[in-house]
Parts: sequence; C-alpha cells; structure tokens
Amino acid sequence: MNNIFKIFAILSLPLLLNACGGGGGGGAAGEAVGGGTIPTCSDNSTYTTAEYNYMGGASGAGSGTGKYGLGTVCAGAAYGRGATGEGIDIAVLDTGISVGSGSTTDITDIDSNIATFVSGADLIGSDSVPQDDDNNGGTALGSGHGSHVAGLIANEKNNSGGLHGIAYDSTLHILKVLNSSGSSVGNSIWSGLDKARGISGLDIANLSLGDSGVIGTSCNSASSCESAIGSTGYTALENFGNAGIIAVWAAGNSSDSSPSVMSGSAIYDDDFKETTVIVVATDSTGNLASYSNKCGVASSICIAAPGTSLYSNFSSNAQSSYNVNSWKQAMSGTSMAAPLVSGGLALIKQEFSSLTNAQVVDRLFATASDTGEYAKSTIYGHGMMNLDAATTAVGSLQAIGGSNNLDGIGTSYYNLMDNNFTSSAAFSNALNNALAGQTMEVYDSFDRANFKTNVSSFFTSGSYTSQNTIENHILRLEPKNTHKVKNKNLYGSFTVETNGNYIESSMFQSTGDFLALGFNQSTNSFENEVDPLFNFFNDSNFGNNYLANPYFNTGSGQDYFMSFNSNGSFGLDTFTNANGNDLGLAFNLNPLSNSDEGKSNAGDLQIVFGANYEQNKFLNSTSTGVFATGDLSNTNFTGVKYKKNLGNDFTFVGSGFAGYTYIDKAADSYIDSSTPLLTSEFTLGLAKANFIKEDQRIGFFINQPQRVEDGSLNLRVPTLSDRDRTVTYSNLNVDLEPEARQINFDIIFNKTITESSNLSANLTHVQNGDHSNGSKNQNFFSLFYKKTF
Amino acid sequence: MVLKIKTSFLYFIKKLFNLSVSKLLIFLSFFIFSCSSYSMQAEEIKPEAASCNISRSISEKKDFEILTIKNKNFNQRLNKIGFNNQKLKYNLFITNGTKPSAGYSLKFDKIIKNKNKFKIYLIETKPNKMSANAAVLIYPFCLLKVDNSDQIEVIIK
Repeated sequence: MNNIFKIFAILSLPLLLNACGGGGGGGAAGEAVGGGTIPTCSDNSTYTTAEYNYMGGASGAGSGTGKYGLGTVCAGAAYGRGATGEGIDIAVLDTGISVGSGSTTDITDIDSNIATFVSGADLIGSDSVPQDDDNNGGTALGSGHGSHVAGLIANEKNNSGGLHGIAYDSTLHILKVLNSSGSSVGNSIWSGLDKARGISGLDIANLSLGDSGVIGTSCNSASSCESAIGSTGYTALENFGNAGIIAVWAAGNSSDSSPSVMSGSAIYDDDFKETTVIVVATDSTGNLASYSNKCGVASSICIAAPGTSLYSNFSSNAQSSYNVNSWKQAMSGTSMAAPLVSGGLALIKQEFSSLTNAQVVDRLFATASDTGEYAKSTIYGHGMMNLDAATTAVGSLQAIGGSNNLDGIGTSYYNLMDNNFTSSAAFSNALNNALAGQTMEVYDSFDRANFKTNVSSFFTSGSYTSQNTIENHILRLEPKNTHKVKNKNLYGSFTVETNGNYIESSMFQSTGDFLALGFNQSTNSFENEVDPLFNFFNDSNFGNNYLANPYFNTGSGQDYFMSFNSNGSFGLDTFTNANGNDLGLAFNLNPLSNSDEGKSNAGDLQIVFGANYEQNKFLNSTSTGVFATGDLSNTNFTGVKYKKNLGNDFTFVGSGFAGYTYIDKAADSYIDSSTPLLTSEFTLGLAKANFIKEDQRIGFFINQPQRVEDGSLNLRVPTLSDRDRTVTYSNLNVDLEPEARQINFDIIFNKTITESSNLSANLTHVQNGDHSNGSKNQNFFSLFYKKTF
Repeated sequence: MVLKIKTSFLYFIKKLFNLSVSKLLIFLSFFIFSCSSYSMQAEEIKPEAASCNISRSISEKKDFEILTIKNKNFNQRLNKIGFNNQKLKYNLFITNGTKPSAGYSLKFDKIIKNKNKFKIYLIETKPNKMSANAAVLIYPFCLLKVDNSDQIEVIIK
C-alpha cells in the first residue's frame, strides 16, 4: 500500500529568545610604502606609532602604517605577534656607545633608558667601558656611529626620545672595535669577534663596517680571501661561524658590484656561510641606494633593507660639536641597513625558539619580498626583508605526533585540519573552560618554526541546545504515520511497522509470548506501549531522546534488540552503529509485570545494565590525529526506567542512567591519561491524554541530559621547543565536570484535527549556568501543522 | 676651478751688470727693485677662522665643491649638514665629496696668498687599504673665513 504523505503547511518557528551571541573579527590591513615592490604589510596599527614612524622620517614622518623605515620591513606585523627582541642577545661591534657619566649600562647622554646594554668592552682602549669617544678632541670624526647603530637596533619603546629601535626589547652587548675615526686598529675587529664569541647566549653580531675590497674581484676563493683578510681575521670568522652565531655585515657604500671582502668572504667558506648575512641599503623609494654596493656574487647570503636617512641616536658629544639640539639625526649607509636586519633576525629568533641560528637566517632569506624590482638577485640578493612574512607560517602548519625531536626520523606530523576533537555535550562546557587561554605549539612545514595556537582551536563543542533546530522540532512533533502489518501462524506472529519506505521495526513473537526477535531504529521499545505517551514517544528524536538509553545513543541508530520474554521478565538489547565500530550490550530486567495496554494503573519498571564499546571515541566524542583515542573505550552503565498510568489519562514516566567510561589511550596521542568518567542522565515526565477534549494531548517533561559528574583527562601538549630541536610537553589536567547542570523543560501539545491532519506545539526552556551571560536561559517554540493527502 | 695666480718677475740682471753705469747705481737700483719685488711674492696667511669636520647628514653622493657665502646654496648646504649655526663664522665651504666609509677626513693645512688670490691647501686622510671602517656615508668638509674669497685655488694633498 502506498501512502503518500505530503506536508500541506508547516509553520515552525523555533525562536531563540535568549540565545548565545556570536562575534565577528576583523583585522587591520597594512598599506604599502611608496608602492612598487615594497612589501605590503599586515602591520598591527597598535604598534605603528609615532615612535615607529620616526626612524624613517624625522618629525614629519606622520602617523599610520607603512612608513619608510620600520614600516618598509613590516616590523609592526612582527610586534603584533609578540616579537620585540626580548631575550635575544645582540653584539654591536662598532665605535662603542655613548655611555653616560660613569655608567656602563645606560645611554644617559640625552635621556636615560633610551637603550641599555648588559656588557661591553673596549678593544681599542683595552678597558671595559666601550665609550663612543666621538668627539675626538673636537673634530667629531667618529660622531657616534656605534651609538646610532645600537639605537637602530634597541632604542627602547615609550621613552622620551620619540623613536624606538627595531628590536626594542633586545639585549645589547657593546664591543668597541673602531676608533674615534670609525676605523679598526690592528686586529681590533677580529679580537672583537673572538670576544663576542665568548658571550654566553649570544645569537647575533652586527658589523656595520667593511673594507674597500670587492668580493669576487679582490679575492674569489676561500684561500685567496684568507690571504686578503689575513689569517688572524679569517680564523676569527671561521670560529665565529662554527659557534653558530649570526654575523650581519654591511655590504659597503662604494657602489660596487659586490660586497666588501670581509663581509663577502663567507660565500666561499661553508664554515660561516650559513650564519652570515650581508645587507645592501635601499632608499625611501625602495630601490637600491645610489651609494650601496650590490649583492653580486654573494647574492645567496645577501638581503636588502632601508639604510638611507634613518634617524637614531646622535650622541651628546656630537651634539656639542655640531652644536645641534636634537639627539636624533639621520645617517645613511649600509651601516644603517645592517642593524635593521640584525634586529629583524632578533624578532624572528624570539618568535621561533625552535630554530637554530642558521635556520633563522634561512627563514629571513626565504621570506624576503622577491618580486618585481627585488627579483634582481644580483642587486638585492633574496630581496627586501619582510618581517610580516618571516613571522607567519611558511608552508602549512602541522601538529607533531608526540615526538620530542622535531627532526627525528620517526617523527610524524599532522596537518592541523586532521586533528580534531568533537566533544560530547556531557562535558563540553567544562572542557571549554579548562582550555580557555591554554596554548600549545604547532610547527610549519618549512623549517618546523614553532607557533603558538590555542588548544581550544582543535576542539568543537557538542551542545544539547543545538538539538533545538527546526528540523529536530519537526521530527519531534511530526506524528508518525506508520503502517503496521501483522501476520500470525502456528508458531507465532510477525509484525512489520513501516514509515514510508523505511522499516521502523520488525518483530517475531512466538506463541505464548515466549520469544521475540526484532529490529527497531529506536533503541528501546519500552516507551511504545503505554497510552497516552504513544503519541509523543514514537520517534527517537523526541525530547532529546529523553527515555532512550544515552549510552546507546551514538552512531547512526541502527539498533537491534532481542528479547526472551517470559511474562516480560527480562530482555536483551544490542547496539551497533552503522560502521560496526561500536558495540553495546544491555540486559533489561522487567521485575514488574508486562505493561498492560489499556489497563488502569498499569505500570512498568525496567532495570538496565550493560556495557558499550566505542572505537576511537568515547561518550560519542570523536577525535582524530594527535587527539585520537584508542580502539576500545569502554563504558559500563546501569539505568532504570519507570512508567505508570496514574488514572484520569495521566501517565508518569521517569528514567535515570549512570555509567563509568574508561578512555582507551592511543599511542602518541595528546590525550595522555584519564580517570574514569562518571556520567548521569535523568528524565521526569507527566502526560495527559484527553486533555480538554479527546483529541488533545499534553505533556510536561524535565530532563537533565547526560553529564559528567566526575572525572578528568590529562592533555599532554607540546608547549616549548628549543634551538636543539627538542620539544617539551606540558600536562594540562582537564576536569570534565561542568560547573553547571543543564535542565530542559518541555511542554508538548498535540491535537488531532481530522484523521488526516494534526497540529502540534512545543515550548522548550533550557537552563544552563555554564552558558555565557545572556544565554543561560534559552527558549524555543515550534508550531507544526500537518495534513496528509 | 683651480685659479692660476701669476707670479713672475723677469729681470735681466746680467744685462744690467753689463751696463757701464756705476756699480752703486746698479746696487741701489737692484736694492730698490728687490724691495718692490718682495711686496709681490706669495705669502702664507692665517685664515680668520678655519674648521674641518665631517657630516653624516648627506644621504646621496656628492662631489668636490667650493661654495662662498655669496653663493645662494651656501646657507642651504650648511643647514643640510647640520652646521647651520656656523654660517656667521665662515664665508667659505669646501668639500671633497661624500665618502663611502669612516676613515676619510679633511684637514686644513695652509693658505698661500698672492695679491688677492688665495691658494688653499687641505690634507685628505684615507683609511688604510685593508682596515675595517664604519660603513656610513660621510661628508668631509672645511669651513673657512678669509678676507677675500673671490679668487681661490684649492689643493687637496
């Protein structure tokens, strides 16, 4: 028989009266400086202050993002990600620094605390005070070159000076290797390099200096460059490189086709090639400055940065000599471009503790802007330094598969999208609260640079209120129009109940009710027998499955049951999901007599106990990748169901379930261990048939959805990695018991208008104290009309 | 740019000695002429003021240049190199152009005056060939104040 059901009219209005709100995000887009090929930055406007802009353009620099200088290299984007140079040690080998009266730690000539340094030495005067003696008897020949360079790197933020360096929180070590004329004396440079090599924790050395030779011309091999530089100097360079410290050199200002010999000799020697960076200077247009040497034969270790008219410290002695009032003056040269790159390396180094210094250099080069004009590698090498790109992921971000070694042979990585945890609503609120603000490391596929990300970003919350959708309300209120066929023979009866083309249930029942075998999409037929609830409980979606076994409420709902009914005394339910991965078994004891259909004050009690096994999930919380769980998480449960006709067409129903869940740990999973999770669920309901009139029914129900009452799991997530490429994990104990208890209140009304038409209404009120303010109380209302043709 | 100062005296002493006038007259004449000749010879003078220094405010390449205070660019140049307060003291600006690194400098040596013409001698210092030097553009220059700056020749050694 073909019954054609058509929905004639549907008015279904789930109204979220006090619902959770959502938020939108936004970001500040950067602007290009000067157009052309200069990088476009996603600078964080919080950091593009007047101090930020001043370096590139004096008091007229104006405000806003993308100004020449720091804006050219997108430093503001790096600041926005937390990189300021803090904890990074930089040695400045130069003319020294202007040391205030008697102080060895502050530049106090103009304003205190403009920049600080923690150690210093004078390789010219052989003392411990690296004074930038720029006045030189009134000739001011040195004129504070070292002070200017140091300020470009580390002038502090928010000081009275009005500008800050590129790595304003970095730690300086000042080595005076140039005399007051700005020239080395004897082996002062090489002694300075040796001295710097001995500084504990030093990462970067800035050398805004060079010779008049040209690499590739003056020398073109390791041996010829060693001859040109001298064995003392060359050995110092090799030792410095072998120590893994980055040396940043100015390319030189002679408009030559390649950098100077001292800077460029690394190109021929692998001992210090991978930690050497040569810097050419650009002007405010972004193009190579007219005076700057080109990258030439050293293009593979060369990069460009602004170097023309950059403002920084102008020492008091120089002021006196020049008789100017401002301590901020502009200087030009690759001397000024080099400290920007030294500072840029410090920002990268701070941002990615997992990188070796050689990898920091490699990242600097790989992320430089190299399109348009900057594609000319013989001029710009790798291109213009771009700290926005350098501090974002190169390639894809991935999670490490539990290993402590970033580069181990057996170390596995998972793309971020392959690591998910969809939590059961039974503990999602507790999980969300526990994970708030917690971070872990992930790594990019380029060099395993470590990024912080919120642990919660991998977790999706389950929500019971999300079941209050239009679709679920329709399913809840839609009266089933099933067709039941029952055949009897000598051995018993066989009943098939269909809904459209789908089999709802089938059951063989032997003569004398001795044996029943069946299939049903709903787990339990317990609720299907007693009027007046039949009209409410005949589908599994009703009332969030209020009376269904919550531990079987997983998967596709392909459930089977088998009962040996001897006067209804006991039964057996089995459960499996569509994939066959989950298995459940429950024994149902019915100590009272079988439900008496139509019998006044009939009652029924069912006691359930059993076990459920879930593959790669628990409590229907699915997870993948580094959050995966094992093959056999187990839940042992028990429960009770009770229903009773109270007379006058009233029926009382109640159910309660509790269980212990044991999470199966997967190898290398971030879900490291757990205590058993105690869960509960209960429902109380009262329904009345013949409400006002015979064709009307009403029901009122209180339900607490499944909830964790006790238990926790331990997340072991990577939180730190160091330059040795070792990953450290931290334990994050997550108490899965939600602080609040969700209670649902439901009123359902149903009226039969004609045999072929039906009207239903449902009001649901949800209370959950764990929800954010304004949504602790939620209300849903649905109205449903159905006519069958 | 280099101004030639003509200094010469051509005397035909031998011819004079060959004349049959009295040796005394010759002697007196020679004496008188010698005195006259002495007043025309070049002499080293001291400038009213001289100062050589280095500016780092220049951001582009510049060449050798002499500017007198009469030049409209004189004040502008001093402003640009950060010595604008010096303009009242000097009337002559001399530079040998931008240099690619520290280690270069100019030093005033002397002025030789001949009539109203001045030959100014400056000494340039260069860095040693394989020394390391701060890689900053520098702009060595000298400021002088002289009586007459109309005709000058600058010689940089």
